[in-house]
Amino acid sequence: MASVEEKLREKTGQLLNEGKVKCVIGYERVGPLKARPFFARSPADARKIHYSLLCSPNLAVYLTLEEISAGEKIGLVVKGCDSRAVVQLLQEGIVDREKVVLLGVPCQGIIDLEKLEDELDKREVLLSSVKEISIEDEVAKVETKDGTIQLDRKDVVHDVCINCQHPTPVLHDVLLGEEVKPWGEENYGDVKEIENMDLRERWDYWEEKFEKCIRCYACREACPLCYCEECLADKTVPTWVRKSVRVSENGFFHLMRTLHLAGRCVGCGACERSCPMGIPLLKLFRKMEKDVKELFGREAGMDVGQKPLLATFSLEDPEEFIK
Amino acid sequence: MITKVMEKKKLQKFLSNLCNQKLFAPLKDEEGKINFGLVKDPAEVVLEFANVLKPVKSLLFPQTETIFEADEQGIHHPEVSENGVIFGLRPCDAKSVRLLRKVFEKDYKDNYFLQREGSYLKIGLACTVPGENCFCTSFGQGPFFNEGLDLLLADIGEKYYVEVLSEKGKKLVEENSELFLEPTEADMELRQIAQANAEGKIGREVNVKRASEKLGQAYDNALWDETSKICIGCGICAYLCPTCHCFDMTDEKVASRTRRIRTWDTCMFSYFTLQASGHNPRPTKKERLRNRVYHKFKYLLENFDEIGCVGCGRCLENCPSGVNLIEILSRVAES
Repeated sequence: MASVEEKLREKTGQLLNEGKVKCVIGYERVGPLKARPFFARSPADARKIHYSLLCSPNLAVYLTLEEISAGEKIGLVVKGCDSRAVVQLLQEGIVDREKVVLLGVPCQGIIDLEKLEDELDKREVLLSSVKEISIEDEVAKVETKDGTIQLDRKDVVHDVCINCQHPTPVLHDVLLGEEVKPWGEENYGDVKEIENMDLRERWDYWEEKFEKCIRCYACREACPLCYCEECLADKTVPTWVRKSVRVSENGFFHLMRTLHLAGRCVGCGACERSCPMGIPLLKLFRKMEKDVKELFGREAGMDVGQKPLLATFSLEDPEEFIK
Repeated sequence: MITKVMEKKKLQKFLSNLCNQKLFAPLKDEEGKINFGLVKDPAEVVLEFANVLKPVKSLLFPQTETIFEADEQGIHHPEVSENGVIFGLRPCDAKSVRLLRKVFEKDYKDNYFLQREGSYLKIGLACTVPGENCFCTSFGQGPFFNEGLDLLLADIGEKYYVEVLSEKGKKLVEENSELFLEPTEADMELRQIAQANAEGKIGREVNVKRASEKLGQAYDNALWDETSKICIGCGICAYLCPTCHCFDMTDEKVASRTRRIRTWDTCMFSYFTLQASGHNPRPTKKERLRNRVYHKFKYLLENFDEIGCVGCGRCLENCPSGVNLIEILSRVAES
């Protein structure tokens, strides 16, 4: 049976050959443990398309970058979370459905290189000796220069992927691969850990994290739903977030971004994976996701026909905050 | 050059002696990231690492710097001298200090940087295990390069081989003379072997000289459009770059005080060149990425006779989209 990667290459070649799309945005492999976004423009490019557990960036981000939104029809490779970002963008009227061909790939989780390195460390194996990694059922097979090591899938993929409820794309024009079922029920253990802290502890926890922020805005730029033409953080008249990089301003930026993504964040984790300082941003976004689910029974990026959460009003909406 | 050796077991003592002043050294945080931090306990100092995440510029040219504060009583200038010690600089970062100095002392003498930089004593740690994205040897330097430092320590197994490189360094060694020994011939040999080993481990290379010569004709090359397509426009490459030095100046009001600050800024942000009229001379990522490469490999070379990159590989290592400077330079060199 053809692999997902082979099917993707074939489909990409076909779309480009027939002139159905101007380009296909997928991934290319640039190292044994590194893949990056790739714009395939010719049938020859289609052969470079790669797909594996290394394909981390959420490609939906390119839909809102100026060059694409002004352009012709394109193809886009989407994992489960990426497809939800597209649904959300469609819901918000940002993307024209007619302009995008969605090449869906069921996702078994993205490799967390830090977790993998920790696991390999325990076995005294160097990360740099890894040649290939694949997942079959619950086992991650790591091929190294000196043989194959078998690891538990949960020990090598990102935590956010373990919690993923929609590993198979929720919207696609073609699905290239077998459906992947979620691991189990979402339990928000990481969020509850923070909820269980008292206010002081919580403040101290986040203060320590926000202190590290260098305001490179990689979180914002990597996020497919952060597409404001002018971000509040960049505005100078009036100034909402000061230029000085200190905990008050950094924290304000992150909390503001979290609130702006309420009911919109699809929880892909592109922000956290992009953060060079390792700030656990997903804890903020998953808290918001949990609250939205509990308060409004909604999940972002699931239904194109739905109105955006913050643009709707119902008499049944909880309003305990009004005393 | 004076050379010494220090037994490894003496290092803790040396570090605790250094703690009499402000000592900044590589420390690991909860997220597992290694950065220069103020040392409270010498045992926390990390000795095995490829390089610190945030380059040494973050100590010398802080991301947020108060130029002055003003209130009803007048204008207050902050004290900029640190009179501290930085331990564990990698040779690439040490070189970056000299490059930054060139920028901050030409035309206008920037005393905030110059004074602070001059007030530190810098102890380097040669790289015995370079990172996979390191390419310092492409710049005629290497993992044992000793420029810009007061002392350079190199791990030779049981001992550190110590090069004493300045008067400040000499004084420090004299003050701690009980910790240092004279190197034997065998030590010198071990040092040569360690250096050759480390240089051999640097797997990436690019012809930077050829690339910078070719840049002049590469302005309209399709490579800028192609390589910038995947860029998402964040500031990681510039903020983690040891030589990027652009900044913004703003006034902030805090309670009854106003302060003038400068903060890091970068040509990778669209706002960097946005003019009041609404016109932006670098409207897309293509122009912005090209500018960053031109600045480092052409403009700085023309103004200071030196390329503004030290080959630390941080931009390659940390780019969330995999934009690769070595690949860009290779394409320019081949153009």
